[in-house]
Amino acid sequence: MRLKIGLLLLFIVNLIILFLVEGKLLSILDGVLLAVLGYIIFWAFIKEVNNKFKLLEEFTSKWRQGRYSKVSYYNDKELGKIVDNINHLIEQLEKYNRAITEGEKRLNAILAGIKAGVMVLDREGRVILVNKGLENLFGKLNFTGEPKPLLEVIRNYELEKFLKEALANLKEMTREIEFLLPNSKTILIHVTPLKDEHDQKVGLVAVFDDITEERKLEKMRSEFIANVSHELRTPLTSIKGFLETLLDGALEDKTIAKHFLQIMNSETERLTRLIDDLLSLSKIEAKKVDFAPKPLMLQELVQKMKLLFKSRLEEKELSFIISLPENLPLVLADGDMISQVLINLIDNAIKYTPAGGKIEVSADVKGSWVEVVVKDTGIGIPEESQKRIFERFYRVDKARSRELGGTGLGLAIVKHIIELHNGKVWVKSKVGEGSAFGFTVPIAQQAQKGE
Amino acid sequence: MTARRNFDKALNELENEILRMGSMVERAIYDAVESLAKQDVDLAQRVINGDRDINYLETEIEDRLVTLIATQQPIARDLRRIITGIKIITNLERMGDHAVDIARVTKRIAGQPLIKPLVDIPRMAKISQQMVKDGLDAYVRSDVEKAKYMCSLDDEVDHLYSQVFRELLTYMMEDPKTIAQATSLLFVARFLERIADYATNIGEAVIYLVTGERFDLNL
Repeated sequence: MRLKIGLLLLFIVNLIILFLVEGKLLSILDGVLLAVLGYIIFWAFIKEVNNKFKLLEEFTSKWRQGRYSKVSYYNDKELGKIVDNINHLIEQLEKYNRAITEGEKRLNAILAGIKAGVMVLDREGRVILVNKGLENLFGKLNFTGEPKPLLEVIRNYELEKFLKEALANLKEMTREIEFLLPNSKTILIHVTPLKDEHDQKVGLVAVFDDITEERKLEKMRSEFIANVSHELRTPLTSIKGFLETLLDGALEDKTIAKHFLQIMNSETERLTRLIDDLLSLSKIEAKKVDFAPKPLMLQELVQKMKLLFKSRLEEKELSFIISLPENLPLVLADGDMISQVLINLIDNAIKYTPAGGKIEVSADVKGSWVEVVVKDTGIGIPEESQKRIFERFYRVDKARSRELGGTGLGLAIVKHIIELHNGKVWVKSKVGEGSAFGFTVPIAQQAQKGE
Repeated sequence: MTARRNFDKALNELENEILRMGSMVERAIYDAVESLAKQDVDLAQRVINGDRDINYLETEIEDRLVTLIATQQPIARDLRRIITGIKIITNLERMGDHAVDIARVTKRIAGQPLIKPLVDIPRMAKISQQMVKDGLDAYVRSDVEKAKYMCSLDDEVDHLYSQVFRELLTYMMEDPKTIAQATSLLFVARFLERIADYATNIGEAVIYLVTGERFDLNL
């Protein structure tokens, strides 16, 4: 319809123009030809405009899919300006876009790089962001990026209460909260409120720090101090008690006085032993000790032990058996320290083996280590105590150990000395049958053997 | 439209309250067993005092859920959400009561040395706690699989319970002096076994909520 009107219009316009120019009417045929020609030109023009729009449309529809490519230069007065503007807009957009993605990437990298757990909450207290560190602390979290109430992500009412408080007060706050499953953890949480430029609250950043180990160490330290004071006070109280009795008149009675003094003497000895043990333990622990490993013959050391304990072994009628292989290689160890280890182990064995029993020291090569075992036919150690026996001041039976003059530190010293040699200690025992304590020390290298 | 939004908002809030209550009960169970193992009477007393808050929260949530039914007359899934909520808080409240029962045992046997180191009871406690946690996790995530998985954990708790029972029985037969404490410990094991059962109830409620079907986990 439009085509027909167009043609007709062109035809009439042509006729009029020609009539005006030439002053005469053309033939119908000429008119028709001219009209068609005119129409073709007109059509081509429309087509070109159309093409320009199509081009624009194509590019703009790409934008909808998120791909921003520039419109290629178009040599055209009117469209050229538009295209320029569009290109400028795209450049700007791309710049912003890059800035945003880069910022996001940087933020994510920073968040992932932080070992502590990080959580961001919006002003309603919903979780809007968590980092990898938080998942390392709590395991897989029920969070995918959608804002979620805190209790659905981490179900802990104490944490919720704390964060609510922080959100209401808009103050920096710190609190320690214990989390239970899968393993109980003590976590220090520090929150910082987020505010916008008008000081209005936007949300909250919470940083989670696992301080379980620190708390455990602190507890151990304070327990140790409590233990030490207790151990020191016990002999001191007894010395003081006897002293007071002596002053109150017991001094007059020679026999009683002597007896008291003997007790005081043995208590003083115990105190000295305890302090010596404490000092050597703290030295070994602080690695302040002169640790001088040299190639060492274990046979010699063990023979010395036999001499050292001779009288006590005879007193209790204990047999002492040394079964070290003749070709036992030299070990690389500190002689004084290994003597201390053997003394502590054999001393224990003598203390806890009833008269007539047997103590055996044996050794064997295990790879690049020599394993030494001190075995007795003593009273043995209950299973639940075995894993704690190397702890400082741990005693299976407190009263009995003190009666026998133990400080509660002997095995702790053994453990620390052997660990200084990079070796291992172990215990195997059965109540009523006896115990075996073993430790490993490294074999001295061939080169040193030639000495 | 706004009525619908109000309803959703109120229900979401209540579900959040249920999770808070769950967290409090988880803590109570943990502390109760901890107080027993460490013979910590103060901690036991804290558990006993804390139960008041749990009970208060339960009645409050229940009242608000009932009000929702009365004022909104929900149907289908909306109604199931409310009913499930009521079931869950009922079970949580009972668990809280058992935590108190365990804490009372701590107080009763305070000062006496334990007749044996506790091994299986803490193990039972750990699994029961895990079940409570899993049950609530399943609820949060509408996770039917997780709810069904709890079934196998309950078997473990039942197995440990009979083990504890047999062991304590031998102690009592060997030495009548242990009977008083052994009976108390036996009750503790029983309470933990009940807690695990209530946890499976939560699992069943979750399955009902998601699928609308009944499923018996405690076989």
